[in-house]
Amino acid sequence: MSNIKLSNEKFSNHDLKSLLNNSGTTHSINIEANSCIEIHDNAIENEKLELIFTIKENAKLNYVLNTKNSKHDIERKITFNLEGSFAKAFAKCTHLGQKSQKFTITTVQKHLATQTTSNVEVRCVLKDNAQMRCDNLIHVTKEADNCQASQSSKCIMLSASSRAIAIPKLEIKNHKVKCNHGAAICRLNDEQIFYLESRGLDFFTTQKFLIDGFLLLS
Amino acid sequence: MKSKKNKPSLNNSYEFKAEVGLNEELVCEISALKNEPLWMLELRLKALQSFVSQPLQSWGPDLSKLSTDDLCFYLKSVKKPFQSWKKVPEDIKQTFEHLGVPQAERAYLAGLGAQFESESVYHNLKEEWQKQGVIFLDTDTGLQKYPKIFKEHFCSVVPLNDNKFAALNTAVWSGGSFIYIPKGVKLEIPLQTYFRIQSEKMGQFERTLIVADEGSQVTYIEGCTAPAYSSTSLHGAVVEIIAKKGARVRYYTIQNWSQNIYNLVTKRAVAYQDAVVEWIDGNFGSGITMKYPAVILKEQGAKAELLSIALATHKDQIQDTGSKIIHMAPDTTSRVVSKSISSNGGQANYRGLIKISDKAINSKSYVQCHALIMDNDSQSDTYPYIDVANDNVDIGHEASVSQISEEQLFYLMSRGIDKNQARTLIVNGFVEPFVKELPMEYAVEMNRLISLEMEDAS
Repeated sequence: MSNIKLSNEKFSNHDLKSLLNNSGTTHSINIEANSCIEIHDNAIENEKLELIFTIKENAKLNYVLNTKNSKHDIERKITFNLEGSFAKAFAKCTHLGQKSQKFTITTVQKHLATQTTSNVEVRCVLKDNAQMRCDNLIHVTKEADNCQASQSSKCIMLSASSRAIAIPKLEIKNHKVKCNHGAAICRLNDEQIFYLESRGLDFFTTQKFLIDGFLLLS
Repeated sequence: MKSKKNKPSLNNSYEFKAEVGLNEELVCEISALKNEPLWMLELRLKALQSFVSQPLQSWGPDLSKLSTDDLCFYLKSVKKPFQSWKKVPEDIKQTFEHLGVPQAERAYLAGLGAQFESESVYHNLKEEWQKQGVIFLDTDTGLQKYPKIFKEHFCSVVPLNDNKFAALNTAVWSGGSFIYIPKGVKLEIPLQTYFRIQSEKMGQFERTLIVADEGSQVTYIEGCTAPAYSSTSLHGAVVEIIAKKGARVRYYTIQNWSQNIYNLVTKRAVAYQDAVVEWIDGNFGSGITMKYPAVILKEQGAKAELLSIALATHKDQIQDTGSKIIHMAPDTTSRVVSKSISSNGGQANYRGLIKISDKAINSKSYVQCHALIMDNDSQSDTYPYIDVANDNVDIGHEASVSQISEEQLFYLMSRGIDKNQARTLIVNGFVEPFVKELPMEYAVEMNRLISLEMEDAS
């Protein structure tokens, strides 16, 4: 397990691969107080990783996972420990699963201090025999007054033999909170397909447009 | 298991009271007392073995304090159920009169059952429905009179080894309701059974079997109460519903057990082609409740609706409720709306499963869970599980947890409504989708209950 400390004095924008200094699968990353850090993870070479982010007071973390260029099974276990008050953590994960690729993402949003904010979004498109398992937990402790946490997982299924499992969980031990989660699993919207096709696009292009739009999390 | 002998002890108030503890002899004895066919005894013994061999579940509320060795598993109060309310023994009658049960029958029910401890004391169905072939009996009499229907459906929805407490129920079941609605009969007014646990350290194991034949329709209401004792009692019911082609079954539960009751029940329905099953589930009382009403959508076009509410308003009270919907056929739909309120250190959880098999093409499911937490000692957890093995589906889930919105409170208070009243109003609005579905009498009762709980909370 490696320990990494990040603060604004170093960089604000990181590529995860260059950040990890050893080949272990578990990494602990501290975001120091008052810093604002963005981390990009393109899941190349590191298919299986466990990341533990500890976010100190008034710090902000943006974590972006984009698996576009990976052909392997991907597994991520990410914990966001919001340890200092006013800490913020945001995660955006997009995945396009093909063939018999497996995508497993487990996230934990642990609110340990007051006024903390977090949001995790997962968007996934499954082709062929691809599989997805999305296990997301929001945990709010008794001490974390006035925190806001949200989580959403959306999945579009393009093949009858693909499989999606979504387990969004909430564990709330405090009443001064605003927490919500959502999960949706469906196919491409018929109306949107019709609209684009009626403009003269063939089905293949239509599908590509809609999927690209869906996976473009801005 | 204890090998202690079960000597029947007769006293003034009970016809038969089994010794505490559970063993094979007790199961044989219950079966013999009820004069059951051999296949039922064999089933009971098999279930007992399954109960003993299964460990306690590793998830959810802690049940280690519940000791099944100290419970009395069978308490018979009367020889056989009466069909006339007048004949019911005075002390039992008074208990139910006090709860307003017989008035309800006169007012708006097609039939009424009352269960006191292990046995049914009263079962009656209005004549016009009897003429149409509707069967509404206590489950024991049902087994004696209609063994054929019984053998076909008993344990077909909830297998005897389904879970530890379903196994226990199958081993020592007694009482409950047996309902059969013939083809095409539409029972427009509801049937009701009222369950009462009167003594302490008692296990009530009612078994309800509802068979709705093709094109029929039935509404059933289950009400439960018990007086408060310091020692624990267990209510371990199993409910099986079979909704055949085009049938419509609506099942209400209004559970208001006292704090000392463990309410561990298994409720499951099978819906065949175009059938509709609706669970309307209100959990207000009990110490620990674990209840996950389930619907298996077995044939094309079947539909399931579940509307539930849980109030956890006392310290250490756990309402671990939820739903299970299994889509096994094309064009099946389901909708789950779950609401919970936790206050004064209570814990209200939602635990759900939506499973879409590869055959369930074009199926739709929507799950909505909302939780209100009133103070910082209380807790609310949500664990939905969504498993989809098919691309032609539409699944949505959303959940939220929050306290009473400051803005809403401010709005109402700025209109001159005091804080308590405003809170009550908001909470009443929160549970409105549930209350709306209740029969009138229950809706009034429910609103009153919530005002009462709110007064406690503030």
